[in-house]
Amino acid sequence: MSDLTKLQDFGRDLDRDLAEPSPALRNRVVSTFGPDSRRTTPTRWLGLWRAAGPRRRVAVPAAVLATSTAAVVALAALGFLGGAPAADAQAVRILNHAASAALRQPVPDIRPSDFVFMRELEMAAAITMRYHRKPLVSERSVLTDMWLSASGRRKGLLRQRPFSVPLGRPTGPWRATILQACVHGQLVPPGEGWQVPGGSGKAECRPVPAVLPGLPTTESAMLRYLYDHLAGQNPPDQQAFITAGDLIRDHYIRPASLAAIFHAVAHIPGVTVVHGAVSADGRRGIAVQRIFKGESDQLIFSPTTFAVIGEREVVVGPNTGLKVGTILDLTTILNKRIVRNLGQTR
Amino acid sequence: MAMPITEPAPRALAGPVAGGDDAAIIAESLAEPERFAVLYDRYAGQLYRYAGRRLGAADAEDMVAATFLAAFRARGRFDTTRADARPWLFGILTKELAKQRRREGARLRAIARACTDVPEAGHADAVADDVTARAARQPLAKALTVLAPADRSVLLLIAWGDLTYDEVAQALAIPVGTVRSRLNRARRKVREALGGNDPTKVAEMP
Repeated sequence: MSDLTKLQDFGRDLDRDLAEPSPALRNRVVSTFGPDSRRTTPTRWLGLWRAAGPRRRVAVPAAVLATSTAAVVALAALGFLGGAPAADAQAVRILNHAASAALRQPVPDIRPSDFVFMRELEMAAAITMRYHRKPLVSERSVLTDMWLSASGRRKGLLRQRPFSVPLGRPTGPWRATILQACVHGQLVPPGEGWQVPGGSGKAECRPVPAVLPGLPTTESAMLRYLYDHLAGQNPPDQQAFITAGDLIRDHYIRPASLAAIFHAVAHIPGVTVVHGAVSADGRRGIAVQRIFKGESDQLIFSPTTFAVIGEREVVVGPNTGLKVGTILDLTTILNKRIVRNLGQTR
Repeated sequence: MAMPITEPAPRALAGPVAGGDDAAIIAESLAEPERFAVLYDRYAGQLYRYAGRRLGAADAEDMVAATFLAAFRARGRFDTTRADARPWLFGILTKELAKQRRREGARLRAIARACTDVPEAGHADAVADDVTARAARQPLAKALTVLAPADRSVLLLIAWGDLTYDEVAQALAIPVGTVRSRLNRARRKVREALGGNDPTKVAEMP
């Protein structure tokens, strides 16, 4: 069977989740075909709007992802730069605590050949939207170990296993994936015997360093950086908040830059506090959030050390089609450190 | 000018249909806007299915609505020498989908992930087919995630949108040669991701 035939079968298989377009859609669309129409955007009715930004899910090799172009949006109006923080007062206090805590951390000596080791527990909701019926929500948790090349030029390793949060233990074996190295702009095929999603052929790449060089260390420069590196489809303020979370989750950030991120987030309008946010491993934290289209994106801090312990996306509004309180994604950072060798955890 | 003979012949269904060809409808809609509803009735189903496959049912209607709204606004710029509006509408839909690239990626990864959730209990025959079908989705969903967005659009417009090379070129406003090269690259990557590097497959390219 050719790849095109397989793809066509796949398409027909996906049709099983689809109904026909509703008569209401026709009315909604056709009503805009008039000389006196003032509507500029179609109404979102059943809009489950996943406000997620460029959450670099681990299923795709980092180096492969690097070949996709990230939209770079320059925001001209950074009018609030230099003014009072735009987040609410409680959120600013927490972010200031987090920045101070970051600055108390030791500054590691990182070599380009090093790896960032991260252990994360991610609980993701699998949502099946159904026509004229309530969506089905189920949860799945995965324990992930990642070794990402500090410079992006060495191959990395990712291993994952299913994990039961209620049982507190893994429920399946590890599955490993090599993250291909990017050397001289070309992906390096991994060794024999490895299955790598995306194939092992040659492809152009840009290295994705897990320790970003030249990240700003001042509040104003970091704020500009966050708005200049928007990669998702959300409005700039929401995306800047999500980008800050993505930076923290997917990289090792040096203390001065980490502090600058927290100070910068305090300047993003609409950032507020959530008390009692719980991480996947049961730790109770305090979170700062930004709400968009009925979903709250949250960055969770330890209430004692003010280190980031995770991230959550929670349904908070009625317009998503999902029950308020549904957790769409909960990522808990269990460990993050610089190591010399692939596979080393301490 | 004669059509290049190397291109596939236009499909019978893609041409003018009863009620006037698309170009005529669009021309009429400049004076009578509500005539544009004829195009909705002709193509909404196809666009909905294509958008639904790419983004899921929850978003398909929004994508169709956005496409027709944009098409209606841009109808004055439609090239009326082309009788068929289908490539034009698919081109607009592709632009709308491009705005949702992150979400499409998340959906594909969710499909790929979901397939590993083969239930261990409950061996009822009723679920067996579903599990088999879902298991088959995983490598394809994974394969699609690694394609560059432009390559993915070309591949899916052909495989799922049923567009010819020439129609894809019209839809995306790119040369036919670029369609071919993007399609070849996308298919090669899909084959690699599916684990096959069978050189005989190359001969199957249309």
